[in-house]
Amino acid sequence: MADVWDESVWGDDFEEPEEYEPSKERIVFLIDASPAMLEPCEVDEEGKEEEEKDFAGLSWLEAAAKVALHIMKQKIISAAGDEMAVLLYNAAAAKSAEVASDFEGCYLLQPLEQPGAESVRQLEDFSLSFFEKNVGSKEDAQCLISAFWMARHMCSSMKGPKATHRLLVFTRTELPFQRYDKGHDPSHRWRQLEGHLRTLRDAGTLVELYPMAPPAAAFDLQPFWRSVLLFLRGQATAGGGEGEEVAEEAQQVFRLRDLFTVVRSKAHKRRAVGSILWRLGKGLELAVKLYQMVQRQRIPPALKISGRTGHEVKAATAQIDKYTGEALEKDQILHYYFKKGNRYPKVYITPEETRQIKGVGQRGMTLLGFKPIRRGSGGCVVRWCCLKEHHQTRNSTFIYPDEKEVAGSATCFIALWDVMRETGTMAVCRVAPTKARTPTLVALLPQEETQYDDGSQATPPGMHLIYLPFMDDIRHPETSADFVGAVRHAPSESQVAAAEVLILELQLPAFDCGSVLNPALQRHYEVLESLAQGMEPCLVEDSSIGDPTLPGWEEEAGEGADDEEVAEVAARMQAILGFKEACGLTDDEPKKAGTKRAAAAPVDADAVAALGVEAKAAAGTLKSLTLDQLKMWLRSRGLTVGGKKDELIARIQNKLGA
Amino acid sequence: MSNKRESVVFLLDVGPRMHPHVAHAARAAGDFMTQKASRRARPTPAMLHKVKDEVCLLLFGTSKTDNREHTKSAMEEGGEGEYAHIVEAHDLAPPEASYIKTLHTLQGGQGRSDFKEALAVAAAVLVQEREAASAKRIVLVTNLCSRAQDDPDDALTSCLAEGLQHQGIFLDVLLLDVPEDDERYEQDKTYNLNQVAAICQELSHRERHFSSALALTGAFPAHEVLARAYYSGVLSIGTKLNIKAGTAGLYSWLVKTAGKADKEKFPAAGRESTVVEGVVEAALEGVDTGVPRGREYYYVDQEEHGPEEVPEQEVASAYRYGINLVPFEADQRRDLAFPTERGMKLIGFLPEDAIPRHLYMAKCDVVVADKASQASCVAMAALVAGMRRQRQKAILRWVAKAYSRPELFLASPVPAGATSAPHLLLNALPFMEDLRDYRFPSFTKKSWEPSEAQVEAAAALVASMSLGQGDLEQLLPERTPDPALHRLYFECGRRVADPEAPLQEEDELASEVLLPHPDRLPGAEAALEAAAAAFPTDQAAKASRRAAAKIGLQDPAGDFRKLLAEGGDPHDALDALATAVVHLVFGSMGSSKFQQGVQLVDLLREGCVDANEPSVFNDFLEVVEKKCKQDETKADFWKWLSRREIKKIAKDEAGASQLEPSQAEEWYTQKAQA
Repeated sequence: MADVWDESVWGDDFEEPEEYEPSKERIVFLIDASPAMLEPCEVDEEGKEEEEKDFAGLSWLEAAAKVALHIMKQKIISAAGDEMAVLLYNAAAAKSAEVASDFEGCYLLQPLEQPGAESVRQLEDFSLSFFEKNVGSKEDAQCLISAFWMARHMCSSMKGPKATHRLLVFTRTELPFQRYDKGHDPSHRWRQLEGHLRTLRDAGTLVELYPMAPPAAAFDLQPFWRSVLLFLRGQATAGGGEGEEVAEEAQQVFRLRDLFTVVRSKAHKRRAVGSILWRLGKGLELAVKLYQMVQRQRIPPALKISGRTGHEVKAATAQIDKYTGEALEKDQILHYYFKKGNRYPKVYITPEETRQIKGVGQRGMTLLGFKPIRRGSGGCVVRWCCLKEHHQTRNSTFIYPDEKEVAGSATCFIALWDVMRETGTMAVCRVAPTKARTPTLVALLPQEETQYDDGSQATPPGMHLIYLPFMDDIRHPETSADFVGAVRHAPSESQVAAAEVLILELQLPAFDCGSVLNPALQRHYEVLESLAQGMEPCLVEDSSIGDPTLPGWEEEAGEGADDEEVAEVAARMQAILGFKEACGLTDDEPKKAGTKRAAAAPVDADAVAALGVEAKAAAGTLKSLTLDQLKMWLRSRGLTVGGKKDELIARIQNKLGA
Repeated sequence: MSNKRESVVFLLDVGPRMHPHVAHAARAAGDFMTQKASRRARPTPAMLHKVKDEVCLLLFGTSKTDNREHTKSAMEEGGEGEYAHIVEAHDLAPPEASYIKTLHTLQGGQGRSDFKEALAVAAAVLVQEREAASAKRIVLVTNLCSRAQDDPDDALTSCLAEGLQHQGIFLDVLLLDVPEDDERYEQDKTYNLNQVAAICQELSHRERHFSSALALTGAFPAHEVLARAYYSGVLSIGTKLNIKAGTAGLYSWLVKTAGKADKEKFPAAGRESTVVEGVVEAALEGVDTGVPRGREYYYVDQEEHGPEEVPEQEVASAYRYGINLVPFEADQRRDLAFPTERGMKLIGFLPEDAIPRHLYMAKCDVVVADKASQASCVAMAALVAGMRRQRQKAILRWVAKAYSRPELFLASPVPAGATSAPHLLLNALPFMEDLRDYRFPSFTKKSWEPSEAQVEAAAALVASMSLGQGDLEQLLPERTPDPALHRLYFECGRRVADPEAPLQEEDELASEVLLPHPDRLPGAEAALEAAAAAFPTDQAAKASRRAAAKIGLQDPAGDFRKLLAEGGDPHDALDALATAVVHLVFGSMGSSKFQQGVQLVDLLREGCVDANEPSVFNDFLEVVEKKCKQDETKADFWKWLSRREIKKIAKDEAGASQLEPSQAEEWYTQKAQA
């Protein structure tokens, strides 16, 4: 559900199944509940005021639960089919999904299921006092083993379609137990744990470790966790979902900073939406995988349910013959072009012919050539040269070499990527991402790998695929005299200078669209959550969402602002007003001149009276009046004047109560 | 492009010197007719209306003569020769099927093509146009290779120039500049070009050049979409300043937004049922033979709730919240919506490269100042100029309709051009929910690292396959037609002319746009071959990686000696060395690694003799010889080897060899001489 082709722009009228069905994911949170986790969390990274608020005053345990809650909410919005569980280990009280079998020291806060209103409420209500009252903390090495056992048990006992599994472990304990008894003999416990890990590994489960340590403090993986991760690392090469990737420790251990971006970045497991061959020339083909990294998350369309039973129903549609009422088979339908309203006769074309015209059937990518994207040298002047701002028809796709499909792909891809980056070029290719798609042209932009300060990946290496428009897709409203007028008003130097001052004063140095929440989407789910829990939704004004799309700057200094802030606001206001004055813009919302229709002339009361409408209405001779005369009367009574003569007469009679 | 009705005379040259290109020119004309036949306004269905543009199709260079000016002059003066070889195939009317039939059955004519006389007839057609209000245009398609009749004192030229200008006629000139024609008829063409220039001097016109007949098929977009604002309102900065002090709102100005780039949808076909007999005939008689969609409801989980149909009146709406289904009534929709006011707000500015290109979402829109407000026009022009100077882009928040969702847009300034107004291009930006922060392994992995030679091969490929820039840019989106769309209309046109016509196997336009043409890019074919040799894929890649693991391309000799010193299997080591040599020599640019290669061949031969492994070397030599023959740029490597008299290993050197010394000698002389 999360990553599928956005079909809206393709507009194909026949349906073919997608080759890449999105798979389901199961996430299990394993949260350590040992006494150390009950201490207040210290997450005061510098310059992280917003986030500080998020976790301030919470214990490590609560912070972990909060992360789980955020991910859960994210899942509800973006991948409602995925399942989640939250499991506390090192718990004094035990609780599991099945009453019969409890696992030592494991408290199942949220059973493995699709999250919904109930599970959200449960996590929202989770607090230290709840924990101390109902669960309690203890420290027992056996608990961790039980927790892995239970996780394994939960994942393997789920029915349903193919799913990938992920375990997220939150702990502060560097060494839960000794790996070796004496010398080099693995301890009994380690052997037990290994047994569970092996099953998890063989099932392709990913395990991610979130050490709960303050930013400055170190978390020593060496004595214990590194071995666990090392053991599990075999899984990716042994035929895990993503193939070519050899899991590295960097993909298994996440820093504290990830705790803050975790909602955004870890809610989605990487899922490819396609895998195609990229043909460079005769005898040289490499494989690439496609990923949809940007996709508008929309409010999903409403579902149909039976109002009586509350269960979901779906519509089965069939094409019906208009006369016999029979459902038609595919081969009983003729397809034609030039529908009514066209001046051409109907032209019959079979769906097979339509496919041939579209050129579908050949999945893959073919290199056509290269074009410069950068003008100027040394990368100092970055200006799109052959790729214009409006060369844009749909969201971009990310591609990454698929070494598993065709060995040698990565080397070739990297060599090209390297040269393209160095020379500032983009590749132009023909692409048909699936068999059913009409081939189109794309530009490939190389992207360099960049890292955050702590060494984790900020942008991955690879290429972005920008879908190019054709001539038929590009319009030129800015050249239409009807649209923009024939006269060009050249701005004076002082007016441009005023604009420049405005630009300098309204700078957004830290703008990052990736940190702006979509208020419409958030509001929708906020209301739904309340309704699902049987509560009255809160008013928008009381909602915590706010509108992050509004300007972040103030028009007047708030109370208690220091001199600097006051001066800043004043400078900004001066710039805004300066530009306004320079360009002669008025205070009031400008009135549109000469739009639509001219205002009607004021009604002449005498003329209206002279018509004698009332008398004529009584006599039933209103028809003798002209349309304009009828309208004049209607206008004098403040009624609408649209419609045919009969409608106007009916309206008059209605008004007079006749 | 005007929103008004347009009258067009389409002038098509079919004279002898246009014959090779007539079919393509007719296809372009067909595109134009289809466009005019279905011209519509966008974007909302409510605004959709048909514009009844009229087109007159005028052919010149035909064998016959049939036009109003010819008839007139023949009647008036009895002069027979004027305006000859011009045929009015279709008078001014909304184009319909017969136009398409004419174009799809068009034959070249044997008459002289005189574009000036044709223009005169075209002007006469437009002058007789009844409604003066509509826009008038002449489209001229020709290669200008037939010299127009000599014109004493340029009388006709100046008459045309004045007449067209006086009538307010727009001249749209499509010139076919095929190099062979231009060379052959250079003088005539130069004369004609000067005449065109003289006519156009004071005239509103557009001149477009096409380097091949096929390129003409991209002259007209499949649909002409009228510029219609889908937002017309204010762009504001700030809100209320201080109402008490009497200062009203900060300010705002009027803008309009229209689409700039949006995928032109491939039209959906209509459907009709064949159950009723004679459906095609019935359809022709106007009987509605449509295929409506029927709808029945069933439980999604039929195992649980049974397979019975759910009556339609029982069906209600619900939203999904995770596992929960939340039913809602129509009046609850307001609760779910995020209330917004219609409007466009300026949030701020950032450097032009702050937002990466791949974050742009979906289509692109244009914001221009409302022409009704002069102050707005000035403000827009000043803002665009300021942003350009400061290399800045703006962030806008735009709500097109009340209660529609607010979105953030990146606005890029575009200054005024010859015909365009200064404007902002709007690209929607993603929200946090729309981004996936997937992580991928770094490209620094040792086994993935391309060798120097491989990077060189890639660089040669990128350099040789350049599609140019500026005026020479190929596949420029503004000039590249959508092959599927154009092919659909072309094929439909063929079926209008002949309902039984089968589809053309290949479409020239699709091949032109969607297939690579390395033969047209100098050096591209050789670079592609070199790249194919440099980048082994699949089995070859795996094998080379194994060898590379042992013997790298940085210091193959050193690696080889080390392998032997470590007590590795000499056969494997020799094999790996042979593979490394092939990669080194054939994966590098030109002859850069030949010197090193030759030394390594010596080393390999020595090693093979010492280890009594002659077959490794003899096979290697065969491979090298073959490869050198195939690749011109590497042919010299074989010469280098021959010069050193490198021969196969015979029995006398290594006992395991099957070759007699004479056989080795023979192979050498045979190949060396070749």
